[in-house]
Parts: sequence; C-alpha cells; structure tokens
Amino acid sequence: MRDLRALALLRARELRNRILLLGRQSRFKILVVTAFSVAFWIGLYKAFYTGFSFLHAAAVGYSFGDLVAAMFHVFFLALTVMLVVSNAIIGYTGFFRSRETGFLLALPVRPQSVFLYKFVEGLIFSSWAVLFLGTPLLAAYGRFFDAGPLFFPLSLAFLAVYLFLPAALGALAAMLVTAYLPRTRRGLLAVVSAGTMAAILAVVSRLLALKGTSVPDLKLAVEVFESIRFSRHPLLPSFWLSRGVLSLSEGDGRDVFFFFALILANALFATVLAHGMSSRLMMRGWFAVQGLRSRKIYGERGWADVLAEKLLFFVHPSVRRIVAKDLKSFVRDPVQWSQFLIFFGLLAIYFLNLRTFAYEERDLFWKNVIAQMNLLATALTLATFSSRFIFPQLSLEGRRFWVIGMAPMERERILGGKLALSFTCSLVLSEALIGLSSGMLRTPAALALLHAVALFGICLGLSGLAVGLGALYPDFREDNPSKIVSGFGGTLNLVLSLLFVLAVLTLQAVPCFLYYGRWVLGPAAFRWVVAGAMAGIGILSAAVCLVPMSLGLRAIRRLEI
Amino acid sequence: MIALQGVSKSFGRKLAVDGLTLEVAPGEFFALLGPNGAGKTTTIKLIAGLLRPTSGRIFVCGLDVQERTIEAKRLLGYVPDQPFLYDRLSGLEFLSFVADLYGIDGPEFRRERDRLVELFSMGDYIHELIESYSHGMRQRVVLAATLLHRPKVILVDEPLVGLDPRTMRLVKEVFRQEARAGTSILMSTHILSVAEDFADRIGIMQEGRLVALGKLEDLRRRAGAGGGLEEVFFRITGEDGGAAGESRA
Repeated sequence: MRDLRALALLRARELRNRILLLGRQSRFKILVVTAFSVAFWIGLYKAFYTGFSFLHAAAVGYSFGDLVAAMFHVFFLALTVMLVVSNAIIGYTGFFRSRETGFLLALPVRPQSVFLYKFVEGLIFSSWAVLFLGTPLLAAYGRFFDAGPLFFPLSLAFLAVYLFLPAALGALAAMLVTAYLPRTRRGLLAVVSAGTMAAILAVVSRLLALKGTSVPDLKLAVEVFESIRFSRHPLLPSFWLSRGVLSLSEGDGRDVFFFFALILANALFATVLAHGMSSRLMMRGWFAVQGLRSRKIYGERGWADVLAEKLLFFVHPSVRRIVAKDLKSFVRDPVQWSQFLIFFGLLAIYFLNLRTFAYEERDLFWKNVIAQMNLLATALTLATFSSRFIFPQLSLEGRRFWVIGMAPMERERILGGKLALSFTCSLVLSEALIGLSSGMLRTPAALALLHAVALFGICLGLSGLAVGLGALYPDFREDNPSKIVSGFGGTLNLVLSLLFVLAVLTLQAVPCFLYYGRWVLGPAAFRWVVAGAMAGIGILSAAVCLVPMSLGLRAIRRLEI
Repeated sequence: MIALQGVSKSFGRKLAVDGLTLEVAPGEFFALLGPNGAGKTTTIKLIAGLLRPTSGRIFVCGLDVQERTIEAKRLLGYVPDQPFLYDRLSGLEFLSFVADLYGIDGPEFRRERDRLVELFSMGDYIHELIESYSHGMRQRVVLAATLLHRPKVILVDEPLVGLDPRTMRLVKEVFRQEARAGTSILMSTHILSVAEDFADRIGIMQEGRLVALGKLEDLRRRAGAGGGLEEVFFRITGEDGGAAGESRA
C-alpha cells in the first residue's frame, strides 16, 4: 500500500501546485473561463428544458413518459459506448505508451498500483465532460418533472458511481487487447475498428428497416425508438442508470435503491476485477508494446506529398512540405484519426440515411428545418474538429521547433501551412457532407448554395481562429493534444468558435425561415436578403479569420523557444 | 564567421547572457564550456536566431542575424541537445523534408542523402519510422539533417550526451573534418576531454559572462594550473576543484 500512498500523494501535490499556479495566472483568464463555463452550462440547461417542453407539447396521443424513457435509454447507451471506447483509448496510451508509466514501472511500484494511478487519471480525463453535459440534462429533467430537491444530488451520485463501470470496462478492454490480441498496433486497431463498425452497422441496419414514409412525425419517432429496443435490455448497465434516474423522478424509492445498489456493486466489481487482472496484464501488455517495432518501409515521398502538391498548388513549396509532414504525422497516429473518423463518419452515416425517414418528401418548411439542423451539426462538428486538431498544431511543434525554426523561411509560412491544411481539409470534408445532405433531402438550389457558402465562411473563420489563437496561446511543454486544448487558449478557441458558428448560422437561417417557413418574403426580396446574408457571412468570416491570424503572425514573429 | 558584439539576454529579471563579445574564425573549432545554467545553450540559441538578444548584435558570415535572418539561416546548422524529431516520419522522409525547406532537391539531394546515410551508417533503419529509433540513431539523423545543406557555421549543443563510444567517435571525426573543410564550429559541451582534444580555442562561461577565452595553454597560464583542462576549468570557475583533485589522488 505504501506505493499507492506515494502515488496518491504525488497527484495531490501536483494538484496543489496547479491550484497555486492558478492563483498566479491572469485574473482575466480565470474570469473568462469561468464566465464561459457558466454561460455554457446555463445554455445547455435551457436547451434541454425547451426540448422537454417541445416534446411534451408534441406528444399528444402518446405517452410522454414512455417517449422520455426511450430517449434516456438510447442516450445513456450511446454515452456508455462512447465512454468505454474513450477509456480504452486513453487507457492504452496511459498504461502502455506513456513515459511516466515506464518511469514508474522502473521503480519499486507494483504494476497494480501503476494501473490504479493511471486508471483514475483516465477516468477523470474521459468523464469530466460527461458530468459537464449530463448535469444540465438532469437538472432540466428534474425541474420539468418537478422531481423535488433531492433529485439533482441523487441523480448526480448515480452518474458519478456509474462512470466507474465504463471506465473499468474500457481499461480491461485496453489491457486484454494489448496483452493477448494481435501483436502489432495495426492488428489492435483492426480489432477496435471492426468492433465499433459492427456496432454502428447493427444500429444502421435496424434503422434502414423502418418504413417511415407515411406516418406522422411523432409516430415515426416512436417507431425509431422501437427499432432500438435493445437499449432497454435489462442486462445493459445503461438501462440500470436510466431506470434509476427515472425512478428517482417518479419517487419510487425501492427501485432507486435497487438500481443504485446494482450499479454500485457492478462498478466496484468491474474496478476490482480490472485492478486484480492488472497484476498480470499490465506487465504483459507493457512488454508486448515495447517489443513492437514497425518494420514497415517508408519511401522518400508518399501519397501525402502528392496530395499536398495537388491540393495546395497555390501555396509556397515549403508550406506544402510542412502540410505533407503534418498529414503523415496525423494519419500515422491512430489515436488522432480514429477520433476524427468517429466525428465525421457518424455524420456521413446519418446523412446517407436521410431518405430512410422520407424527409425528401416533406414540404419546404420541414426540408429547410432538417437542412438547417444538418448544417448546424456539421458546423458544430467542424468547430470541435478545429479546436481539437488544429488549435494544438503549433504547440505540437514544441520541442521540434528547432527544425522549422532554423529553416531559411519566414516563420509566417509555418502558420500559412497550418491554415492551408485546416481550411482545405475542413472545406473538402464539410462541403461533401452538406452536399450529401442537400442531395438526399432534394433541397432547393438556393438553399443548397447558401449552405455551401455558409460552410465556406465557417471553414475559413474556424481555421483562422484555431491557427491564430494556437500561435497566440501555445503550450510547448505539452505533447498531448488533449491536454493542450484543455488550457485557456483551447477553451477560448472553442467558445469563440461556437459563437462564430452560431452567428453565421443565424445570418443564413433568418432569410430561409422567412421564405421557406412563413413565406413572409417574396422570391425577389428573398434573393436580395440572401445576397445580403452571403455578404454578411463573407465579412464576418474574413474578420474572424484575419484578426486572430494577424495576432498569431505577430506572436510567431516574436516567438522565442 | 561568427561575431557577437556585447550580446545580453535576459528572461524577466534573470540575466542569462551578460555582454558577451566573441568571434569564431572560419575553420575554427570553438568549445564553449561552463557549469549548468552558465548561459551556453542561450548563447547558441541566440546565434541560431531562436532567441532574440535583449541588447547587442550577432553576425554570421557578416550577416546580422536579426536583420537578415533568412540568409543567415541558410548558412547555419544547429544540433540541439535533445534530438526531438517527428516520430511519425521515417528518417528518410525527415531528411527529404529538411532538404525541401532548404530548397535542395533532385540529384543534389540524392547525392548528399546517400553520402550522409553511408557516413552515419543509417542504411538499416532510415526507411523506418523515427519513433522506433534509439537515442543514438536519432542523433545521427539530426546530424545528417544538419549537414545536408553544407552549412558554413555549425552550432552544436551537447552533441555527445547518451551516445555509444562508436557513435561518439564518429561524431567527433565528422566535426573535425568539417572544421578542416573551413566550417566554423561552436560546440557547447560538458565533456572536457573533447574540448581538450579537438578545440582550437576554448571559452568558459559562468553566470552569463565569458570568464575565460583562449587556447588551452593560455587558459593554463591564466589559471596557474599545469594539468589538464579539468583542473583549469575548476580553477577558473571556482567550482569543486578541490574535491575533484582529492578524488583523483
């Protein structure tokens, strides 16, 4: 136990020092982060509350309670799957790839203690966002159903205990796969990817079997939830959580106690099991990973160089080489591209299935509504993408900055390369996605064009914002992009990105709702208003790109490393 | 080749380099010594243009590093103390990347690449990802990348740390050949025997200032010590020379 105590003390001291350092940071920074966090939480709470109200009003003739229960089952199941995958990825990196683990294993520390130390770190790292997103949902639900003052703290306790379960399952999966399954990382990835894809395809195939063309909207929604009945399987941990929370709101004390005990017992069992197995699996997995050595032969130039040459013909050759280098590094890092694939892959699957719901047969009002929601989803995914992948790009050069920092070229070109890569990749991907959405919905050409223009502006603005702020707030000491984005600069970038996206979407949505929705505008007026909206989007996007870029350029010129 | 005129650099209140004036001639092998925190790495980074001096001017081959940065960088090669590289590139891809940044392509690149791969015996692993390289293999890639554009001035920060004897010997030999060919070499090192054996002149820094400068004989005279560089170094820096002497005895 002495080793575990020493590790716990280490973390406690680190935490204390971080808090002390926080006191030395600019009060403005702390104020901005706190204000945005509170505003974000309140915004989410309002959105969830409005969603419950809307559903309640729409659920005439159906059991509102059943509908909410079905939503909870699906929500918590999806959350559980994401948490297991996220914990498995973080666990793999923490248990077997981290330098700190190597350092600790060289000390007289038991492997189980290292496991527990890294497990708690991964649990906090992967789950804080769940609490941040889950608490406004639970608060809104509790208030809407007037569930009493104890509902919120008790449901929070449910969620907090529950988080150990997917974390332990993810950690177990990471250890078992690394220790026993294929010995190369490609094999490991194939197993994880195949499992995820199989699960997604299973859900999609169920949805594809729907016949939603001739049923009212709500009936269709009920039909969708029916088709994913498996989320209500009593052996699924997510079912215990949703049943527990629902019982809490219903005041059913017996059920509350039963499901809480069930979750607690299983969370403890899974954690103890993972801890017990770690005594064998940690070292076995560690040796397996250390024994890996990619013997793959790489040529002097590959597809990334060709792609950069073709796509970025308009930029300086040295910028293309930096882009090609970034592309190769990205594609060869499974932790990076697997998250990227999940981001955009799920959107593509959804857009491909739009006709399953017969949305293309709806009237223009609904087509516009669905198209707007799709644009919102794509733009928000882009904002997350640019915050997660583009913002940390310059920081990641960090200790390697001597390479490009010593090259005989203006430093501004480094930022130019990052901007070109971000803009081109996000534009190609998002325009393809929104083109798919417009095609599947058979939206009017004007709407499709407006959305394409809006996305062009969004890609430009988000890229400039992420690259510029990335240079303004770099973190050269950190090699982990997830940790870089969780700093002040990353948070500011995410918040500004979301505000910018909402501003552009509002600019383009107003004329669309006026024309396709209520028909307030005539066709001629609509054309003028759309032209005005496009001009507005152009000016706003250019400003959001240029202002942070010019600040970033000034910062990189002055950069000392 | 290298000229520093009254160069100072401070980080906040801490003065890391204090009024440094120094010249390194073409073909000269100059060793910069000093205890930890003396300002050696800061000096090298100032010459490399990775840091800006608080005051003073720095020239490389007559070019002011602050004003004609790009031209100066074409003539500079820099070997950092830690070989941080792009792990997801192969050694060959990295060399190709660096060559592109310096505008070296076609037959010239292939000729230099083949020469350096052979010189540093990297043929067995140059096509594999850098993440699988050992420290010594990484350092060889860094050295090859530094020499690729045939720099006139090479700045080397602790290049021998963690290298095996064979690689260490190779690195020393490469630098000696480069110096013979007219390249100026400024090397910061803690390995005093390297400075003793190879350096034309030696500079000793302490607390940001150059406290001794000259050939080994000059430094011996100044320190009033007859032995090797180690004794001279401890006498000049006033560090734990007594203990070192006792332990040797």
